[in-house]
Amino acid sequence: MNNLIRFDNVTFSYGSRNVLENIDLEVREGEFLAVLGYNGSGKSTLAKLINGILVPTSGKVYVDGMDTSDENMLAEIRKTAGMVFQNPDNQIVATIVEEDIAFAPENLGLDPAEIRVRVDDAIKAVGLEKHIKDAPHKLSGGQKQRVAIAGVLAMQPRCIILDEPTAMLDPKGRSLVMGVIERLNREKGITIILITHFMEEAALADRIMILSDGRVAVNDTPKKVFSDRDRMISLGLEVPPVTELTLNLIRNGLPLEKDTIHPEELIDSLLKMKEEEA
Amino acid sequence: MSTLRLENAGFTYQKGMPDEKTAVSGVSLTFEEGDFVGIIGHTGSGKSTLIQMLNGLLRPTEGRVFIDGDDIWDDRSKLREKRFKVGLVLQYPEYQLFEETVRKDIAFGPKNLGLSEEEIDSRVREAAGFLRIPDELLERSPFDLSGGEKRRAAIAGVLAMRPEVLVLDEPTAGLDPRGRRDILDVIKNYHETEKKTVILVSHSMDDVARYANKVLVMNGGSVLYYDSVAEVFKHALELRETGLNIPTVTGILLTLRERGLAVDTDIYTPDAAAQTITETFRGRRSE
Repeated sequence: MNNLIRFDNVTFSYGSRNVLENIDLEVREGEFLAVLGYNGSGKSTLAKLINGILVPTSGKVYVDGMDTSDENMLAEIRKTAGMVFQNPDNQIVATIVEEDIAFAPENLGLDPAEIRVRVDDAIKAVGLEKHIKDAPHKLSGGQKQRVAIAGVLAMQPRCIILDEPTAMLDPKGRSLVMGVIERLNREKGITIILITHFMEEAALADRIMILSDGRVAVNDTPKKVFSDRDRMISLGLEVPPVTELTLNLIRNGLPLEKDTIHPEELIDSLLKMKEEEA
Repeated sequence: MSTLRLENAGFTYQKGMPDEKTAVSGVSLTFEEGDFVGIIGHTGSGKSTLIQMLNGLLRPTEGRVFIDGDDIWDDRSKLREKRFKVGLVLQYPEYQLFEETVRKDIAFGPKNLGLSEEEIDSRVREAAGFLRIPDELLERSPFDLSGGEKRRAAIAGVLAMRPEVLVLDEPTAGLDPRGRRDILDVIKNYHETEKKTVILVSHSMDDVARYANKVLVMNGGSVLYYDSVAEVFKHALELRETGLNIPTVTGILLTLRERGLAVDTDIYTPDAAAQTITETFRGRRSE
């Protein structure tokens, strides 16, 4: 599979302080990568390096083979890799939902008929068809965040980077936004890089990368990552509640797998154990 | 005894205007001294409006709010004094830090009370102690701190007012897991040492289940449930039907029971959940 994003020995410093050090990273087209790490570990800097908001102090970042430090490539890079930030209020520019979503394609100078198609597709993909004529400030946080995602989708990017998109949302808004992210990845094959503090969200990814002190501390599948609870705690993180429960059950003597990270897995194993017992 | 009581309290934004909107209505309840209450509800359920009425930031458009038996709006000349009894930590409180040093920021409230230098100093030290802010941090600019440290400094500023009731709106929003645990542990420790009322608005049922002893569930501007944690989570099924989040382990137990495993479902901590699940298998294990 082709690598859409590649970090080649990237270091980024603010003054004399290295925020990221010697990062090597490859993200395949169509992959869903979650990035974890405590506040200040360099996650947001990493995100901003991907679409050229920041350029490396040393090393190179490539998006579909394009070097982000080449200014001539920036427009193309940002069409390929779109970004969604934490606070939806900072990302919405227009007074009507559809106009906000149309903002970027309009700036690309696309044909109005093409813009219409893109806006309609984008709004459908995030499930907000009913709100297409609404004023964004009347929407809930979760709905606004989905408008922000639709705005990026209208650029038809191959990759979307989301920097803690659910941090300011309530549980319902969070699960709807995560549903949209998963669908875009599975159904449209869009590469997803999700920065998050929620372990349950990271459990949905194909791969988890953990940053600590500006370096890659862990880079593995969710099951491998969450099966080492002590390491997660020492990295300032935690394991999903279902993994916590499973570890308790293992301590009580039940024959379960310690890499249980989804509630359905635990439920299925327990029901199967009960059947075998009967 | 410091109790906070609402009597048929409600609030309508833009009252009397064509676009008036009732955010809270008919809320009657008492927060007893020493309770640790978790408030949960959807966005728009009235949580934030409710807590703003608790310290007089919003004046109820219907009903009354009492602290220690006095209606806080009875005598306007005493409003200031009464509202100081309820310390409110808003969402993202670190945006309100403004002083040159953390020490000065924490001292800002007590200074405005006209206290002596010694008293101010002792309150700063006490508040910094609760929030585990080390001495060397006190002399730094609040803007040089990490996200979690900034938030602790902002909460210390509220505690330095020695409120009888501490109200926190989503104090862990946007923090990493360690930052979330640190803040909640600090609040728990404050509650246990001071035995003062703590009211915590949270989106995390897991956190509410772990830290609070009572839960207030708001739905559509009114009280859906207000009871002990155990009683409220007995309604886990109804909570889930109203689209509210329930603790992860409670959700797992409900599904197990629906699918025929005889587990208790009025459980909300991983330890207790592990116990009830283990018990259903005990028969086989003791053979």
